[in-house]
Amino acid sequence: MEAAAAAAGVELGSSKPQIATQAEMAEARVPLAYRDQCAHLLIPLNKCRVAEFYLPWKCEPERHAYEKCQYELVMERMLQMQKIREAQETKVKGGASIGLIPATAKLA
Amino acid sequence: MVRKAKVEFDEQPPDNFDPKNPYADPVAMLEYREHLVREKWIQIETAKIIRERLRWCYRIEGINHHQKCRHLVDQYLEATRGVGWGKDARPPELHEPKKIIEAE
Repeated sequence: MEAAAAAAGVELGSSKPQIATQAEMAEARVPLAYRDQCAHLLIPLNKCRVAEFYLPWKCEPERHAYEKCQYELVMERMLQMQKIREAQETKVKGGASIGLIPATAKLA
Repeated sequence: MVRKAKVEFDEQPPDNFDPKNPYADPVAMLEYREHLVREKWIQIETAKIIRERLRWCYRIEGINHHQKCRHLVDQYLEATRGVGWGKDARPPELHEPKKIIEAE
């Protein structure tokens, strides 16, 4: 994976900064799989969920902010993977490939 | 019979017991057997106490038990070495006394 990324000139990892520290995530008991760059939004969201008994129409601003952050992380990873796959297919076939995201789509 | 104010436990094995010649002193042999059984029971109850503490640590710490309860996990694994019955199916390194590897 690292070799393919280096060959394609793609830098792995996220460009988002890690805002919540390990101590804060441990204090808030964030599950291990969710300790990512969006954890600083998940911590108040989980507090609101517990306070509002997980009612679906509550905590909408926090959930919206958290989901937007997660969406940005996912799109960033998908773009990186698309670049890696395009580089690999170009190396193997020598032709163009159909990616997951059209080249005209721009992530602002 | 003298009424004592404090209970005194006999912590030491009998002095005059000779393992090579156990029947030389039958009273010492019986005392030594009592001592062995008592020590084994102490080990068993110690393991139970540590297990209870570990259970509560997992409940209280939640997901952080990987870091916070590490010392209790180590204590419990050490406390269960050679304790109890029915250890034939377990791997020897988990229940035999721990062998200190001496680096040459």
